[in-house]
Amino acid sequence: MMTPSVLISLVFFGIPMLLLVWMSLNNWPLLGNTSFIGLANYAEAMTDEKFHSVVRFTLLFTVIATPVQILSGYLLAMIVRRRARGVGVFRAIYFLPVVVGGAAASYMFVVLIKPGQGLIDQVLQVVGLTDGKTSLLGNFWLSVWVVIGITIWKGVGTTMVILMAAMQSVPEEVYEAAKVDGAGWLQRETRITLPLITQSMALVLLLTITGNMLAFDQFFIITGGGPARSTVTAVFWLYTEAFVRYRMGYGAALAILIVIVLAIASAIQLRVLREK
Amino acid sequence: MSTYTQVRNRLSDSRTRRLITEFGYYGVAVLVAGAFLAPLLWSVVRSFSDPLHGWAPTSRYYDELWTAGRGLGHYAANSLIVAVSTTVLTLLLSTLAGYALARTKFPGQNIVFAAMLLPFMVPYQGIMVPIYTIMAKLGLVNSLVGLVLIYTSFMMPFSIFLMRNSFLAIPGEMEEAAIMDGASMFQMLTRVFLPLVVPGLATVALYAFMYGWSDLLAALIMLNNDRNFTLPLALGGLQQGDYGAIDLGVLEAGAIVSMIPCIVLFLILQRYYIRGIAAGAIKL
Repeated sequence: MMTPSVLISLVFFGIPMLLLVWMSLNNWPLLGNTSFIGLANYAEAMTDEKFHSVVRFTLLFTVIATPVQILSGYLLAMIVRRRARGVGVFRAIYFLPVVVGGAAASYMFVVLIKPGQGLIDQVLQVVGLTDGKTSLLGNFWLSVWVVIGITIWKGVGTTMVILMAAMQSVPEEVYEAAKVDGAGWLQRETRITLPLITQSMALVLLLTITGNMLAFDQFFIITGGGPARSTVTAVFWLYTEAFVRYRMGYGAALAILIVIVLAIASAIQLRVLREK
Repeated sequence: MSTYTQVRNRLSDSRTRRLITEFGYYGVAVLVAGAFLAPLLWSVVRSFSDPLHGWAPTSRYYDELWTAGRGLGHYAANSLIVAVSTTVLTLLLSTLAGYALARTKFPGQNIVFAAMLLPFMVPYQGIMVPIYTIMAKLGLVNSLVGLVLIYTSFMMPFSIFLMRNSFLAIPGEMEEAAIMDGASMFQMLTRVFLPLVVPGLATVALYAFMYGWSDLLAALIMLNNDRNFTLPLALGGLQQGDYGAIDLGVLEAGAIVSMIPCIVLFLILQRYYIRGIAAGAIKL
């Protein structure tokens, strides 16, 4: 019964992992002969200023976006954790963007931020951030924040559902007792809820950080890496090197470096997850 | 003041306060819901109105969709084939594997389970390069079959994990009763167990369908012939103006149309889904 799934995992994971290592040690164009070049691809990555700036941007995006995503997920979970009438509707609405598909959502937002036309551009005009004539994509920080906003809209539902399930398993009496003792809502959240949901918190953190470090769709479709290639993410760059310039060996080396960074990040967090 | 009025005042006082908090709660919840729905609703309204003629109602953009490139129907059909095949294959493989891992004993079981979860640590973006090379060797580049196999393999760790947990949650007595009745292993799986893991199946199905329907990166890499394009690639064509002049209204209409199947599926499977993801996440 295990055979089919083991087989497909072998062909699409086991063998690719070995091949990935081998390719990273070769000069590997799409067509033509490959040649063994040892660690030259890694040496290039170490000195490749473009790769460094791409990694810096990916980390910057992750560091800014993650806390905002987690906090909004937590606040939404506070709204929908109640078991009252009508709450199911809110739950479904907040979760809805998760299921619409990353690419379709990104294309929709391409129109929503069009100068002078899109809803978001008009809102930003009222706030005074855009003038309705120039594209906000010409501005680095505006682009980043818009993409963060879209990423939250698109993904916060998952965070919310996981945290909500954890919050619902906290017994109601604990809160009642705290209320009697005069604890305010902020105290109840930080002293009771948070310590009791650390495991789910760690899981959500793991999913969010991984998702952000691998961000691709939003930037590829919405900013196209601009302005002046300042919003190219690690996966975006890997894609460009391997499948636009067809330097697949170098792409493989970049992939391994990305995987190592991610593996370290997940290992640390899995440890926290297991501790409980 | 009599004790009676004091008590009554305090009662109505706390009732008013509760009413105010309730009002505040639903007010906030509705406002947030509005913020989540606004981009979608605005886009739908915008896609049915013509900015050149004072936002008069029009179905022009949707009409044009059917003639852009090979017509949206063509790309939607490709996406549907890929998404449905991915879903069926994923359900089949993960049910068998989850059942074997949870309900049978075989040598090396723990090692197999751990090995099946290994891809959790390595995102598919990391192994796209060698997978492309392998698919090229197998002659599966630019084929929807190749794409289905890739998506199914990416779905494996999560689905097997979820199905194993679903099967584990079923009490042992169910099994014993079935054995007493002389059920075969296959009968036991289909008659006894499957009805009990419907939430897990629904979650896996929704994820697999959504993934097959909306993935951009793997399709971008694997498909280079317009005939095989899935919806996300076709929308990219609309954005780039590959199918004629760039028309934002048409792009928007295309994005909306491609959202509909997943939204419908979500609304149907919703009650299983939220339970399923919560159960899967908590038992990690």
